[in-house]
Amino acid sequence: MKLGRVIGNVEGVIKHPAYANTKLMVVQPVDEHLKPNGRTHPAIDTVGAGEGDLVLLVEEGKAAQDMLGMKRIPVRTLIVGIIDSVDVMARGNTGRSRVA
Amino acid sequence: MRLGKVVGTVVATQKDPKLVGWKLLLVREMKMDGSLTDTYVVAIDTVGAGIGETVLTVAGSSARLANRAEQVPVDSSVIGIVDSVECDGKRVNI
Amino acid sequence: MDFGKIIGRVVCTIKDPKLENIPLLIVQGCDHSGQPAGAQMIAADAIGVGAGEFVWYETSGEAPLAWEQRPPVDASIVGIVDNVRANAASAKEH
Repeated sequence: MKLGRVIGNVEGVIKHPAYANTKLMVVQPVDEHLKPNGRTHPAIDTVGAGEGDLVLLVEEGKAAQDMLGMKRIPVRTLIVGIIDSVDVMARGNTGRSRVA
Repeated sequence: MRLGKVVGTVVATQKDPKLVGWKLLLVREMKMDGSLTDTYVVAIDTVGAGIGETVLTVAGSSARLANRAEQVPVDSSVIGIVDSVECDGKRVNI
Repeated sequence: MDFGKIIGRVVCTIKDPKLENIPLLIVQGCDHSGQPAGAQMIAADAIGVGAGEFVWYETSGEAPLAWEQRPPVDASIVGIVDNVRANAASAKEH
């Protein structure tokens, strides 16, 4: 799983039926220190995430099918959690520092 | 999927029994402008492609969805012979 | 899942039977603002898109699931982006 920051949402009328009634968000992937890392991408929200939220991203088809309650759908990218905090060792440091 | 140019064939006598009967092609990856890259892949041939032809390859678990390839232990399949490519409004020389 | 822009197409006469009637389009990966980022690839069109359109696509083993017959594809176009509302600064404020 990966960490990301929700920065907005996507609207589209023409889409595969699996995406009907889903909430599609724009996510900026972040590194373990929560710095933007890589290009933004869409993800289906299953937990009520909003702009600015730090979220947990899963990219796996079976998980997506379970979460959306549908079988055989072309979906593998989901927001499955809103993150409260991340504890990570600072780079080149042996101590612990809370970053979020 | 990726474009590629068939640049050779690979023969293996000792192999998984499920690979018996499949032609293994050496495919150089092609960019969308028709130039060849440094990367290659060995792919099973599901469409009857020949050396020098430009082909369409599929990677990952989808490679096993190719025609008759359901049980074959592969991660790349040639699934089409490319007739033409159009990119950025221009016909690409393949 | 990624954003992308349709920049071309590929035509194959000889191809996997399950690819019949599925358009094969060249997609340039993009960020949410439509800025090109990352690779170009060939993706199968599951919804009927046109040249130049801004789309989202899904890759890997889930890409074939856009069709009943599960064609051997590793990238599928599954939506057309009408509007993106985003504030890139909200990723850096924290």
